[in-house]
Amino acid sequence: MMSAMNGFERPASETPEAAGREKVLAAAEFIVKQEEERLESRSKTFSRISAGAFAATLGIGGVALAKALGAELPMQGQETFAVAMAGQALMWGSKLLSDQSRSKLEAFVGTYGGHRILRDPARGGGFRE
Amino acid sequence: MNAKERERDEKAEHSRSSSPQAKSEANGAKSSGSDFAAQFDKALKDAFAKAGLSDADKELALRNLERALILNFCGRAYDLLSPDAQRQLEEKDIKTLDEAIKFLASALPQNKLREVFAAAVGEVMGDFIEKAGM
Repeated sequence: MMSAMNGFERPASETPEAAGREKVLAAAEFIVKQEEERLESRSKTFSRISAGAFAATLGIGGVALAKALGAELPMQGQETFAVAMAGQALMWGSKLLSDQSRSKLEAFVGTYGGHRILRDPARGGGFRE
Repeated sequence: MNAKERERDEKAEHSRSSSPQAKSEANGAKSSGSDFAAQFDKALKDAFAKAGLSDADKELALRNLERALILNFCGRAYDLLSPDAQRQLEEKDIKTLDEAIKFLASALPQNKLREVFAAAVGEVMGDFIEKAGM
């Protein structure tokens, strides 16, 4: 059985454990397909290449992007480029995030990271310990 | 407040009071980018563990998130290119997403790249957290 929620469909499982796992995997799959469709409609080049693989965890593009952003490359224990970079991007750009996005990310880090996030009004509501 | 919310609050409160970050907070220390990256990394790992993801599941979810983040970044960065730069990108014989990212990274100033990347993180991670029910 499938249930629809804002265009996002996910399977209904018999146990809470299986449902949680399936929900996370389905959400990640949905997000990437959504981004592929958006990008393909934007340009001929991206329409041609978006179906291809993003080479390795840190491909040449990833390294070039990290350097251009002035980012620290992923450290030991941070498993992927995306996760490490996401943490840094939140520091750089939290004041640029919409209130809705910022609230979701603050609540997520506060709940699962076990760490309180405070707003710093002097930095436009940016993250601060 | 239901039992699940209480459990979350108690867990968060316990972690806050005993965490190294809480101690540095008490000392008035400010976080660095890498500190926050580590907190985000930990939160994602904890959330995946709580959802019962295997190592293979976790790898798959992270790969999809990484790809979504990069695709979102590319779309936003493409929109900021001048018409001439967009034409150059279309005319180049770019075959991989890696090459496209490299082009975009060289075509925009660092402050714009950071703005675009932060916005991509907000949208992709926020959307994922909401849809995954985290």
